[in-house]
Amino acid sequence: MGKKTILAIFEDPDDILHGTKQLMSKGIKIREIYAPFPIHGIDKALGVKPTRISTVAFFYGVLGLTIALLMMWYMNVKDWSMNIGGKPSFSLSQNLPAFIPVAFEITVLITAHLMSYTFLIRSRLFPGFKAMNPVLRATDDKFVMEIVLDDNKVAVDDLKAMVIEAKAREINDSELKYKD
Amino acid sequence: MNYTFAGKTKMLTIALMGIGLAAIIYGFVMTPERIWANLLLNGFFYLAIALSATFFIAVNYVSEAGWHAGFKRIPEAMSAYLPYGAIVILALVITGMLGVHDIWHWMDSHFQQTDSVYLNSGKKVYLTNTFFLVRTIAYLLGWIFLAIQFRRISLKEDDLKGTAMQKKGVMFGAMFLVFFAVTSSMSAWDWLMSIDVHWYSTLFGWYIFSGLFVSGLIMIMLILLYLKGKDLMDWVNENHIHDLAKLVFAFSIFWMYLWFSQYMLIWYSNIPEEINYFLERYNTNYRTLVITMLIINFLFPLLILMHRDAKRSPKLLFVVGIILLVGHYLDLFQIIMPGAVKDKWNIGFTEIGITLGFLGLFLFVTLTALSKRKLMAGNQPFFNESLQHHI
Repeated sequence: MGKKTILAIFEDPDDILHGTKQLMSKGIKIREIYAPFPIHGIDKALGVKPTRISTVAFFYGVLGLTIALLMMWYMNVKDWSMNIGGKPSFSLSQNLPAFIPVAFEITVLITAHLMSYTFLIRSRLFPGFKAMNPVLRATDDKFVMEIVLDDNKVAVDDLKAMVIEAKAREINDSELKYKD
Repeated sequence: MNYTFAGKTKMLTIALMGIGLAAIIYGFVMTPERIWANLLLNGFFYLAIALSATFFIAVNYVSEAGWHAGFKRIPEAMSAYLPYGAIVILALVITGMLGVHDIWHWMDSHFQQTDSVYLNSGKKVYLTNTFFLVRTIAYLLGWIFLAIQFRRISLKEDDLKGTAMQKKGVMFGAMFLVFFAVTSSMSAWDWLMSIDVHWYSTLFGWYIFSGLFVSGLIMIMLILLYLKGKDLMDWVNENHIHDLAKLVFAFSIFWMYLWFSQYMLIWYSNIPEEINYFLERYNTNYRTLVITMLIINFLFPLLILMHRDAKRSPKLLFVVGIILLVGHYLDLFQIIMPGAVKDKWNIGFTEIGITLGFLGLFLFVTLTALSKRKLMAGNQPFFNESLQHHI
């Protein structure tokens, strides 16, 4: 099942940014933008919801810190008590300064790993994933805007005229085979 | 558009200075043992805030940053306080040499002839009265000279388009950074670390600098928020405030990192002459103060300023800024007081009054300097970039 789609190809990141703003202000719904690199401000212009990964990262950090402290408590206090810096107090809280650097490193390690996995899973980038780029030139030097006709109640020709007005250099009609 | 410094604000700063003067007189009569240490604490605190502002200008010149161009008149105005802070420090050094007070108790000639730690280390060469005075004057003159250059070229730029003044700024900025890199550490050793004369820590200068740079950034932010609250500087938007708050957040963590690095090494090795510094602060009546200031200066900004929305909310930032300023004041308090007044410390009218007095003086000088210039440094080559700043 494919959907009737217009692929508008732009030459310049500024053109596509301004074009997006222009089309959005006319009420055109844009499905996706493909670009070789991140364009500053494009997510806001597209009206994409802000990412929640920073909130998740905070909780991963708390989890990492807990795991680190528990691990060191078990290894160096409970299971095999260590005399740390000539202070045989055998308590986590009194020897805390010695554990802080490791706790910090493990917090960062666990947070970074879990954040990457979260991002990959959320973007559905599993192993064996097929590239979804409708125009391969968008991985090199072109910027592609994808507009699905069913999203908009505008006639095809009017839509094309609007996209051309928004400085698109080239327009492809296409039927995307892999969407829904 | 210009800022006019008059009316209630002016009266308020003058009233604060009045309170300060009363507190100094009260201090000399009622609490003579604490008054000198308090003058050093406040003299240094506000001097360092003005110095941080100068450092901020220099760093932004040298890195050719553009985002700050919209509000660069604020740190410039703050640097005008440098000579006043310098007079306080210089007066304290000279009275110390005359034996009027004993904050730096190594200045006593009896101490210099009999103290074995002093005599058996390099300190007998470095910590001598004359050399101390010469160093103090050299730091202060160097900082004031360069701060005046920054203010001068910025004023010249108002009638002059082009990049000539910017290039001069980069040159003076580079000079300031090299000079400041050495003198920020050395002045911290001289004025603060030598209070605990038997103790030394190589990290001390950076630790002092990081804490006071946070205070300086907060002061820039608070004055900016105040001006924005008066509907001046509408070209500065929440993106600039966000970046300032980010710097406050980052340097709060940097401050904790340095505090901890210094603490952990001393705690680990547990050598009597080093650990004594922390025993004086932890096994005495300073303990609550030290723990409070660690929570205020690290945990508090870490948890509050972590969120993006918090860094873009002027009202929240204003409150957080004032609490953090108190935190760094307490940090400096627990650096100076244990060596200078031992366990006789207290936070009474002397402390609060003198702090408010210095705050009044600082604001009076800063706002007067601010009102003499255009708020918009419109000919700065990066000014347009600052307008476009977006994060």
